[in-house]
Amino acid sequence: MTEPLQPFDWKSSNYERPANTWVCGRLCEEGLPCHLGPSSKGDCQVQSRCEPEEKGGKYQCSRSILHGGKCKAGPAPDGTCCQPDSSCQPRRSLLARRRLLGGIAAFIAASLCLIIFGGASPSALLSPGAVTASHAKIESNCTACHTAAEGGLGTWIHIAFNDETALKDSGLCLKCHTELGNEALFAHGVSLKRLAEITKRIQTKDEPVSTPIALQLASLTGPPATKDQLSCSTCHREHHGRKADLTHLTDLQCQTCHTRQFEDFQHGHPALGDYPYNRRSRIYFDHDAHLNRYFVKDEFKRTMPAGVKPDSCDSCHTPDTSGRFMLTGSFKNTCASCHEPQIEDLEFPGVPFFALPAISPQIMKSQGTWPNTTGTFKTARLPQLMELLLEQDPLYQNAIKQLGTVDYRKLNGVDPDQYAAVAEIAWSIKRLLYDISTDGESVLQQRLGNSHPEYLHLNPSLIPTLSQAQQIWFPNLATEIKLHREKKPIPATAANVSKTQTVQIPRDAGNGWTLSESDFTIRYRPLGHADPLLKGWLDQVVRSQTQALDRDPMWRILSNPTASGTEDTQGALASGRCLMCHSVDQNPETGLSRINWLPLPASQTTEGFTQFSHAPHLSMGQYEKCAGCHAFEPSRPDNSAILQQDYFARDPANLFWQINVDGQQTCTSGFQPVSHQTCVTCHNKTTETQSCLQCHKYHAHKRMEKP
Amino acid sequence: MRNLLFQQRIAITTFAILSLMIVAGCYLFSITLSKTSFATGTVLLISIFILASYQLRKKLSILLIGNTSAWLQFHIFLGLLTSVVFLLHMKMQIPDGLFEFLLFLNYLTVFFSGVIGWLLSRRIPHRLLSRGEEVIFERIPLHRRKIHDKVKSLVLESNASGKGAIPDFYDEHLRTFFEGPRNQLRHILHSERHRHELSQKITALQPYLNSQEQAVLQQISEQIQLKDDLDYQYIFQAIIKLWPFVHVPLTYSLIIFAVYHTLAVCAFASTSG
Amino acid sequence: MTDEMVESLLKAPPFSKIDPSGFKRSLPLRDILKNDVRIVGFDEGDIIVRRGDWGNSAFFILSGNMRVELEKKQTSLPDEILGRRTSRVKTFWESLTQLWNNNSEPEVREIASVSSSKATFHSRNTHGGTRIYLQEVSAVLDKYRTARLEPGQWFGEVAALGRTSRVATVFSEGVSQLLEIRWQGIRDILRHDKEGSLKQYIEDVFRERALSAFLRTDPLFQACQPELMQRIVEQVEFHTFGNYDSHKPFKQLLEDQNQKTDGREPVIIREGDYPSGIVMIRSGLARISQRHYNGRRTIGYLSPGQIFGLDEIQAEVKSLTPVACQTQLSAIGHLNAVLVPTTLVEEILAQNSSSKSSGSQKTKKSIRSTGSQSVKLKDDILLSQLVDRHFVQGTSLMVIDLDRCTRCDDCVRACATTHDNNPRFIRHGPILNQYMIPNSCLHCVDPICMIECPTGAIFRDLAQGDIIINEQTCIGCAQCASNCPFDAIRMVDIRDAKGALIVDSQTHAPLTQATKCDLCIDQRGGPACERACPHDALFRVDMHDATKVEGAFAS
Repeated sequence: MTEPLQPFDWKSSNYERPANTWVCGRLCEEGLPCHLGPSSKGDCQVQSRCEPEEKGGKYQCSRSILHGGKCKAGPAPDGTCCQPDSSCQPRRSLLARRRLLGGIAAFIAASLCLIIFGGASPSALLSPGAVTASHAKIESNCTACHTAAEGGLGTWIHIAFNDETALKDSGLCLKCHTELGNEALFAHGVSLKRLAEITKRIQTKDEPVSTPIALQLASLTGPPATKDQLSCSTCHREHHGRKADLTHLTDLQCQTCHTRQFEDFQHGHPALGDYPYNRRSRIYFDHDAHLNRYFVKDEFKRTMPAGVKPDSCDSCHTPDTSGRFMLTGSFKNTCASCHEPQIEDLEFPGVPFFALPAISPQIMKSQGTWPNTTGTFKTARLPQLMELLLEQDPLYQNAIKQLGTVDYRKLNGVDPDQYAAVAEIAWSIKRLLYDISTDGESVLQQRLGNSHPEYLHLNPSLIPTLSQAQQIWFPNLATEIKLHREKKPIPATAANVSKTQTVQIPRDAGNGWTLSESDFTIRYRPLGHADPLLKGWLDQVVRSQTQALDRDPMWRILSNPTASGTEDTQGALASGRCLMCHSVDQNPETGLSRINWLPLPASQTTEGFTQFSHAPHLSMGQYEKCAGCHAFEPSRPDNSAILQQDYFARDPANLFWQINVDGQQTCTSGFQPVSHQTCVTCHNKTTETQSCLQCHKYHAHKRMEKP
Repeated sequence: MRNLLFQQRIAITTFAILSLMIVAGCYLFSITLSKTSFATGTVLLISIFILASYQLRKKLSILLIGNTSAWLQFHIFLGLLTSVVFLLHMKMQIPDGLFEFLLFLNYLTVFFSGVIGWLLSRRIPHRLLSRGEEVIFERIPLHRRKIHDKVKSLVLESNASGKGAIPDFYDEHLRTFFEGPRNQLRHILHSERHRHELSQKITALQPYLNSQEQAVLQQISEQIQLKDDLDYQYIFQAIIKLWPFVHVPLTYSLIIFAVYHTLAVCAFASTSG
Repeated sequence: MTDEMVESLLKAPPFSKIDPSGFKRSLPLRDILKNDVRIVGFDEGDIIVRRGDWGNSAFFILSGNMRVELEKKQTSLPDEILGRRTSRVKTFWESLTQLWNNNSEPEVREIASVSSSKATFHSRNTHGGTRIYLQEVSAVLDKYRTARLEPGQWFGEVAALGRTSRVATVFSEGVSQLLEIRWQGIRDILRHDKEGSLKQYIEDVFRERALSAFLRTDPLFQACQPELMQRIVEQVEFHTFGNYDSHKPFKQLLEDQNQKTDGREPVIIREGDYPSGIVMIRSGLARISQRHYNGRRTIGYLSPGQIFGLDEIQAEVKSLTPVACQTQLSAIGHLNAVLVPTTLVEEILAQNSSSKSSGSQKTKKSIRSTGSQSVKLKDDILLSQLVDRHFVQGTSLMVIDLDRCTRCDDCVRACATTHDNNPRFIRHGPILNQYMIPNSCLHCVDPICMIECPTGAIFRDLAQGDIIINEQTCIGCAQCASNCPFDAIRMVDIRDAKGALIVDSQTHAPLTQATKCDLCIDQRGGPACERACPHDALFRVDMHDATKVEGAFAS
């Protein structure tokens, strides 16, 4: 049995004070501590240990038992302690060392913080991580995104307690991201008013929905207030690395502000309604008739391109470069083989623009040349443009007044006392022709400028043909006019001379204008699809006076289903009647209408909450192409009629078409709306392609329309 | 003992429930597009202050603010819980920024030193009890000295001239052993190789000794045992006293870093979440 | 005391009856009277002793009458009338200021208090300070049952000798004069008084005044009929075991651990004997042991108020044959006990069982519990060590479970914080199993440290019974430190506020004082060490509370 190391009694065991700051250095070095120990300030006290007691001139050791009792040797004769100087350098106790280390750690941390933050502006050391690649260029410039970076520590403390900071910083984002519009910071980038409208519309819907539990619970913590502006960082969180996805949001996050919350696309998503047929297509195209009749029955086969019927939708529709939209094939490639001949309408003589009424020579006696002397005029009135041009002629108006109701078919049958008036009509026409052939376009401007600008600037111009007509029909018109103005009689011979010369001059200018010598009429016969004159004229007409369109005689001619040309000729289907296919849309805000000559322009989309891209869907081979989503309505006899109503309607007299200018109405074009279920067959939980952001965009603000 | 197990079961269950609640709360919070980092950060900061106040509680032992043991239980509990919050705060990623990385490292060091210290304080008392005389750590140099003196006197006793088998053996094998703490790593690993080696050497020496010397050697080997036990006590007491040297000082720097981090984040956080 | 007064005292009873020849020459009766006795005068209503206070002296009535309060229950004199104040505990703010107001130097004392203590040393006969008195003595007499004590009677000797608390309040009825004798004085007189008249007197008085109340503290006697109780009181035997005051055998026992310890202990009831009655401990501790192979194994111990031998008698009553004791009872150190003869116990049992049949289940239950009254531990080695090393003395034994303790010293630091930066215990000490018993005061039931204190600086706190050293009266003689068998008292060099040692002006020797644990008596919340332990390793246990001891050492 070895002796235990430590005695416990008070004489031989030291008084341990672990809370003290200093311990005897000799304890640590040699294991021989002095009982006194260091002072609280870390000084060795060994020198003050012993004060020998003086007793009658002799010194006696006065060391207490606690310190080992009186020493044998006793003090030196001079009263100093005999013990050698055994002072030491006290050491810090464990506790004190830990305290010191704590102090050092705190000091280092504080100074490090001050170095990093202390400058006038923050250093890059402060950056919590790399920004995404798109922002990498401005990464080094903290002030580009942070208002706090403009100042030092003081500024931050101030800013840290400021609620507006996030919005201010978002303002900095918008300095670059101008494409987000003026209301970018409001929810969905639409105005509060518009948002309220949408919300109200959704709230009035009464579909049963089951809000996911997570969202119900989350609503307890309170989603961001959508009435206020939201900072960009609500959704876009930067400094998470170069490759971080700034736009990632989960479905639940998307829905957190929404009035109507549901589990996922598969379960609870609102029905798609008439999507995507919430407006009619740009051209009136009866898919039903085409696909179920024309492309099926053999009788139409001969007119198909190369005699082959189109067998799938992509014969006409191909995705655009972005893959988003399906483009409709050009007229030439798709419609032309069947419809080009119709539009050319070879039997259609053309729209009369200028005609010489038949006036018997006896009326025109000594009134100069008048080529049209025999037969009867075919219409009761003069062509539209002629009437308009003569409207400004007071003499003509006078003559009409004298004649009362004028029927040009019966012009020769008037009473002889009215002959002068008829002659005056002839002279008016001649004057008009003369004016135009001498002054050209300016005459039109002068005569039509105020009332009917749509007839100005017809292209190709009518004027060369009119000049030609003047040369043929009234070769001596200048003289005649001169004499007539001088009230001098006109010699009759002059007319006969000129007759011989006319033969050499071509009657058809090849630009649509024809000059018919048989009935002394100048007509315009459309050249085919996209005829420039009609297009220009229609654009102008539609733009300003859509409502009055049906009263326009020219429009009546063009839109008359029974005639292609004048009333009495049996016309083919649609020559020149552009608006049979091309729809007219009225802008509800401006009231102006425009003709959709071209299919939907990609840049023209407005509020875009939803975006659908066709290309990826088409590449999914296993799905039955377009028909998988765009299924026909079950065939009904009145399908075509229903579709037609969306574009135009018969006037009550069943004579011509009234244009329906409301483009925004639902029109399914004979298809069934795309059903939600159809989408779900692919977009469901298993394929994990049903996130909100798959189809929807947060920034739904109106895009700037590209010129 | 059963009571203890029961308490632990309650603690583990509470811990699991609380962590689940925190994770769920954080998830719900993220759904509302709120910045969860702010929430978790606030919780972390408060937690760190509460955890650090344990040190304060030790100082304020005079006040009636609960048992320290209850505080320690809470300290450990909350400390472990912060790791869950911390992971959420980190979003399971190592931060990129230099300063944040420092803060991250600092937290990890404090956390793991705490966990290690916790485990040590459960394991080491048992080991300390298993071997050697229970001594006060600060007094160990004193005891060592005492043993060494005893050995030296024994050596002298065997041969006053300082020459001979035992003094030579002492000079060769024992002096360094007695001078200071030795074989620390071996003790930690519970290896007794050094003792076997020494005892082999002693056995090998015995044929060369007379009976008196053998008696002295016997006494010396008793002292060797004593010293070895003292070394054992020393190293384990040192370990258990040293881990707070990491845990406590770094807590101070952690607090400072965390406060600065909070300040910077509040000022700059409009772009990151 | 002047010599004349001593002379006059010696001429009158009771001292005249004592044979002075029995006294040692070095310590004659005369000297005892001179040093340990004083005469105190009281006015009407002055309270001499209060129930519950710890007292160190006995009183002999010279003149005037005393009134002793008889009620033991709720109707006894309320604390307000007795003018009892709760002992001064630091306020919250004072506790807090300790954090920065503590001296950085160890053991700082105010020099003024130290030097003045020397002056008060010889003048303890003057009972300075304010005396508490009853305002309306006649009203108190009307309201509360009291008994009159007349000249020639003793009182207070039970508490003084047993080092227990006072059992009744005594106040002066009219002007009176009392002789106050310190317990050391009585002890010396009792020891050397050959005729034993004083001893007999004291026993008689105890029998008359306190015995029935003492017995009734045990459930067995609670429901006892007055007539039977009267007979019990008359027939009870008093026994004293062990040396009354000497700590010597105690120390020796500790020193040679290897010896069989109970060989020297006086046996009260031997194993295998037929008990002549039940033993009830009045003061001191008793070991219960059992034969184990060729030795004895400790299986429990008894504290004051506990009973031994009831089980055997109960068994006897049942089987109608005498039952021998299964265990042996021996005294640890000094022990006072009463023996209630078997016949009377049987009567009580019969009475209790009859009352049980008339519906009182309570008694039955409580009687059962008396069998398990003694402290028992599963680990009998631990138990015997606790007993052998006298740790069972402790009313507040500090124990550190080393399986949990991380040696962080938080307990020591907390202790230092509450004691002006001086830890009042050292975290080392004997280890029993995994339990370390650090060198911290146990606050013994029978504090040996108090025996030889020349100035009474070490004293029991009147209110709580904790043993405390008065820094103002400690002269640093180190008697207590040497006497303490647990090394719980330490001598320290005292310093002034600047940290310089305070030295004796003549010898230049540093002044020392005794220090020890005071159970944080001036702190809110009790011992700081216990609350400061982060690992629940340190606990304090009252070794006389059976359930607490068993709970503490359970694992």
